[in-house]
Amino acid sequence: MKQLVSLFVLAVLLMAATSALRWPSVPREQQNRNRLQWMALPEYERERLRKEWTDLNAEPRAVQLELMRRLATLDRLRTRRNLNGQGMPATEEIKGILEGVTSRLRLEFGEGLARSEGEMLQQLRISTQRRIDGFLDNLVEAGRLSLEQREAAQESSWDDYVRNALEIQKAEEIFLYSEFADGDDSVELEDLAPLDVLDEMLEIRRLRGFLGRAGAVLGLSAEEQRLLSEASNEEFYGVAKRLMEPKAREYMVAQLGMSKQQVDRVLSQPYRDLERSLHRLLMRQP
Amino acid sequence: MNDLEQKLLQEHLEGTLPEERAGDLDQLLSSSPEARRFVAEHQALWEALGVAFSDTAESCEGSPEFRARVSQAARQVRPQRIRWGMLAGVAAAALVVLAVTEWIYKSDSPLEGIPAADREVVRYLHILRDMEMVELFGEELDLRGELEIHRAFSGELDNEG
Repeated sequence: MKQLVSLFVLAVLLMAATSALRWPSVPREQQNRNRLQWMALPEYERERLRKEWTDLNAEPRAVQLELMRRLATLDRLRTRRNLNGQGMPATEEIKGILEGVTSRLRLEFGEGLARSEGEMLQQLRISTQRRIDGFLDNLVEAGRLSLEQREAAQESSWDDYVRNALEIQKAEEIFLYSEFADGDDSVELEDLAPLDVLDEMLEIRRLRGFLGRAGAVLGLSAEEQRLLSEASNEEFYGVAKRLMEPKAREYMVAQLGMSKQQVDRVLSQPYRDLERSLHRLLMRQP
Repeated sequence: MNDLEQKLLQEHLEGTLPEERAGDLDQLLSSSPEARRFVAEHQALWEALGVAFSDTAESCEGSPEFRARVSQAARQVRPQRIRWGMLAGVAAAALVVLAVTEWIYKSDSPLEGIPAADREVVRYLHILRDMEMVELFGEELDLRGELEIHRAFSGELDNEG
């Protein structure tokens, strides 16, 4: 009988293994569109696509992962523009957007410092690593991540380090957002990719200033909301800090009875760390 | 076993079964495996007690009251058997449900009617269509992707808001 049970377990494991997708799952609507297009293709074009698919699957895993990453970026670019009410961009528009990113970065880094895309990517990575390091340090300081977890994250490969940090950031954002939302909204967010969640949460900050309880307590005037909604992604946190700091100071002194020294210490934190600290302080209030 | 059969076995094990009912007992034991198992378990327990308490067992052996208590205890402490047959049945049923679900999913798939060899190509046709753009703008997409990750952690450092 034990053998029967073992066989059953093995069968289930095999089914799970064989059903695991190498490529991301495709929504039904997309499959429908693909089917209609396929039916309209001439046989020589179908043959070309069959060969292309076979070649693609014969590529090493690392190449496939790189392609998947690029495809996901392209997909996000299209979806984001569509959600913003600008419609699905045509190929030429996408080309323009991508070239715009490169030109802007080239300006930001300065011609002398970074000439090729590869060099700019390298510089961007160094800066990204500083930010992720800062983020994880902030969480350790706030007691939301242990020192061991922090060290374990640092020992992983770059890809794993980024992936884990994004997942942690996603969890943090959903945790703070749950202050405004009912359970269903949070569950829907759980299903999104980390970068999509972060995009959504930036939009909430444009409306509330802060995520978490501070966002529910400290209100924004129509003018302040306008300033936040018009701020570019790059300048958003600078603008938000300028607007929200006086409100947070006033609230901490008047409602929480904190000393000037304590308030200064809290306000000296980077914006998102300040947001987490305010949330914790307000959660302690009855 | 019903209550009457249970009582019959109990009286037999306690040594209080009237002789005129011996025929009923024989009939029950020959027709019911459950009755046979019940008696065998009781006897095994009785033997085990005899070994463990050899000094007291002899003096108690003839006591119907003691026998009745042992019989009662045997009924109460019968171990729960793991029902392997039932477990295998549940496992088989789960496999059937999985298979049926998969069949329903596949038969309801938008790719129904496409030859099996072409289904993967059709499912990922949009990816193949994008491949040209991904190859043309690979580095730009890498930069944009990296920039998105970079932005995901803005507001975490002192000089950035």
